[in-house]
Amino acid sequence: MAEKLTFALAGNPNSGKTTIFNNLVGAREHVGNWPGVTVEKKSGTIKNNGREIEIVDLPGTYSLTAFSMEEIIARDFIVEQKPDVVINIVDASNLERNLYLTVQLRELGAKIVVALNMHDLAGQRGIRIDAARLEQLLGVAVVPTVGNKNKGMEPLLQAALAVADGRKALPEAPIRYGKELEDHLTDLIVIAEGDAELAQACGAKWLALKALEKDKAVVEKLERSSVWPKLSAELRKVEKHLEDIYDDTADTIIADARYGFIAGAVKEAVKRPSENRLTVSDKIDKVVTNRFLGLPIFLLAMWLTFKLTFTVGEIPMGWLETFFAWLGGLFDPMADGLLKSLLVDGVIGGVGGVLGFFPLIIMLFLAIAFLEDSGYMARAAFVMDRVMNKVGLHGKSFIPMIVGFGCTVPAIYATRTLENRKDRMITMLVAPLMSCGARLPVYVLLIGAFFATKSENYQANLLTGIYVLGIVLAIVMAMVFRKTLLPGQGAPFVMELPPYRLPTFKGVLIHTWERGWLYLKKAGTVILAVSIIFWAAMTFPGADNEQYETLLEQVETTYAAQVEIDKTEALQAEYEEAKGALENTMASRDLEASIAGSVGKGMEPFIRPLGFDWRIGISLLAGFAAKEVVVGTMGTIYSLGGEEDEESAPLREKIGKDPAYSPAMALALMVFTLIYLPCMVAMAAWHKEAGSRWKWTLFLIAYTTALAWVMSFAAYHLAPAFGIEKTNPIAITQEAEQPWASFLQHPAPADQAAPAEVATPESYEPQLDVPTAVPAAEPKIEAPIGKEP
Amino acid sequence: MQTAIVLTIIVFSVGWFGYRLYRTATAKEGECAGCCGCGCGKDPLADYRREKDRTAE
Repeated sequence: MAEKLTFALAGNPNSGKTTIFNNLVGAREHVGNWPGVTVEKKSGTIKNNGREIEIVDLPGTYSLTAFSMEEIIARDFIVEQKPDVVINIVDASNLERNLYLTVQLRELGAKIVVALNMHDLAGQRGIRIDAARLEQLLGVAVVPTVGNKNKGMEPLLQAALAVADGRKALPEAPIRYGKELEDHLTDLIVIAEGDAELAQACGAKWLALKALEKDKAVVEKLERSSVWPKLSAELRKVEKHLEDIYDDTADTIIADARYGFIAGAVKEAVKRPSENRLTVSDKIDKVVTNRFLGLPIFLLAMWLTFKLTFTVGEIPMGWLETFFAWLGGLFDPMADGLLKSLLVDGVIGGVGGVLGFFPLIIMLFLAIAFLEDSGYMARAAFVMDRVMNKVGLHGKSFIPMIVGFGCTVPAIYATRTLENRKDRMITMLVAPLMSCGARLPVYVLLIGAFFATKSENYQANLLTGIYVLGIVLAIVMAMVFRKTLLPGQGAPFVMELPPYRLPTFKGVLIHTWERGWLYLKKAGTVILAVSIIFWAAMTFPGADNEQYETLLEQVETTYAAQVEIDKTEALQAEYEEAKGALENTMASRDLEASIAGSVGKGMEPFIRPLGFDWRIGISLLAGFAAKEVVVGTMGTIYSLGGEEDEESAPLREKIGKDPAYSPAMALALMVFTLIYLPCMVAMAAWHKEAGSRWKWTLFLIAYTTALAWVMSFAAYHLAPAFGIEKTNPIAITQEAEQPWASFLQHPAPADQAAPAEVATPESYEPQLDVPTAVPAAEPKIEAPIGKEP
Repeated sequence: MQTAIVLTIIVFSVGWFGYRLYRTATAKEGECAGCCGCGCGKDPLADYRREKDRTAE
């Protein structure tokens, strides 16, 4: 008995492979109720009676041809790695189609155990499967399982161990391809066996079959073999003969033979109800995939998701905002300095700003997990598939795009399901337009800041609109690319509609938590690092504030002298106002003179037509590290340059009251964030998957940036037509005079000589070498951040 | 002293971020793609699986 075994899980997409993998290994791989979730192979190790068993979850495939990436991954693994057993997961309620893969696995010569999964569902539909009979007919071990209820796992594992150890006696049950073909196969096998190494690695019969099917990968292998001249001559002869007899190609004849084998086995071992009952799934599908109702229902599902996100997520979000404000307040006793600024403005302002949205993210992921696990997302893909086909794109393209609602990186990997290079490239180009979860905090921040007075329905409409805009743009751009850069035709695709399942509470919670945990992990790693880096960029080198520091000293000296003769609260308030205004002015000057400030100022001419200023420019630049950082950077900007008395206010309020911004600008910024280039990690994945060709990567950067600019420009300037103002109705306007100037006009006490520090307008002017208390030469920098016109 | 601490944190952050980018750009197929931003190149569920294996043993 081998001490170490390898079991591979193979099956059609959505047959429940990943669920069984999770049950066996105990992992929590993402399980989605739509085809194409597993693109890469995953593996896990378990121990059984001291033996180590590696379980490998192969990508879902319908067959083992070499047309798509997942088929190649699955096939190469079985041929090259030679797992001890292939556990073939089949959907018991859809046996005929699933067994096609089983037959191909048998052709490969693999040791197979068939898991008759979703056995209960088949039972509910009145389908009775005689597993023992099927075992005899197929010549493979058959074990009924119910993956989502964790049933049949131990028998499955034991059957696999028995097959691996050769303890399970199974009949031969050869697959017959018809007399004509069988005769030819015998000849071809003899020739193929001439290359002993290749024949041993792949099996001579399999090589002969694949060569007849004109399997590209196998033919390429054979072309390099010494037997190829003889084999190719024989193949031509066979093909001609078969065409003469059947008037069809060899691959069709082979496929027919396989289906014939399956049909026979199923007829023998499966009993179906006589009447054709309409299942509950069928009834629901009649409505949700209806030609006219399908799209509105999809939009309604999205709208309800966002409404739920806002309504329920808003409450704990408020708690978190209060918590971070309180946390920042804990540092008040700490002496002012770089370290305090780093902790309060950089870490709490940046990371806290992002973490504040955690409840909303959780709510969104909860809703998406429910839609996925119930099977609705597959219907959404089905509905969109029609639209995609109309624009000449492969129906499979929408699956990566739906994945993109969560994160762009797996969406890019999911394009591997597209076998055609052009289809794949188009899908990769448009997938980043789907709004990923990281962009949600930006939308919520802006909607909360500028549309807070509107109803919850209005806010949900706006958010749905942004997501729909992403989908519409993706479709339009796909059409443009199809007609210009990458012409071709979309291949037909059978979109599977898995039966609806009531999601398990545990399953939905696990999926939600997994995604939520990634958000937290990202906040604690990349967002923390980027916040610190951008804090440094926004702090150094700083401005020359000597004049203002002197003014501050004078304000303090004046107050110290005045408080002796005037102990009123009015003086105290006047002093605090003057001091605060001076401190804010210095902070604003520091920010503007910083590295990031200079870069932002450099960007301003390009983004000003969109209603953005240099601070938005810095945030968008930081958003390239991760989209959530747009929010984090805004948090740091307002924390560094914010008003003393407003430091505890949530970021939403601070931005909402800023006269430099408006609801129209917020709309333009949401549109820009949706479209402009994806984050660094997504770009790295994109570059790799595009074959590391810089030409395409640079094209992606150029087209997303240009499209973002044009769309944001349109949004900003067309917004008033939809009742979205270009001015901020709730802005706090800038005061005309600087409070410290009036404070310093307090007369010096009569009984003491006016000291040099106790400035009067006349006395401090020459000392400071500035024309007035309000330096006219630099009027803009007088305004604290958040109050700039 | 404060300046030294702050500079150390900044240098560490820049270094870590650079390293992460390098790992993301050079990650092999099947390794962590850096979706969560960690770019560690490790199987994100490795710890969980190890724990599960240990329990199973």
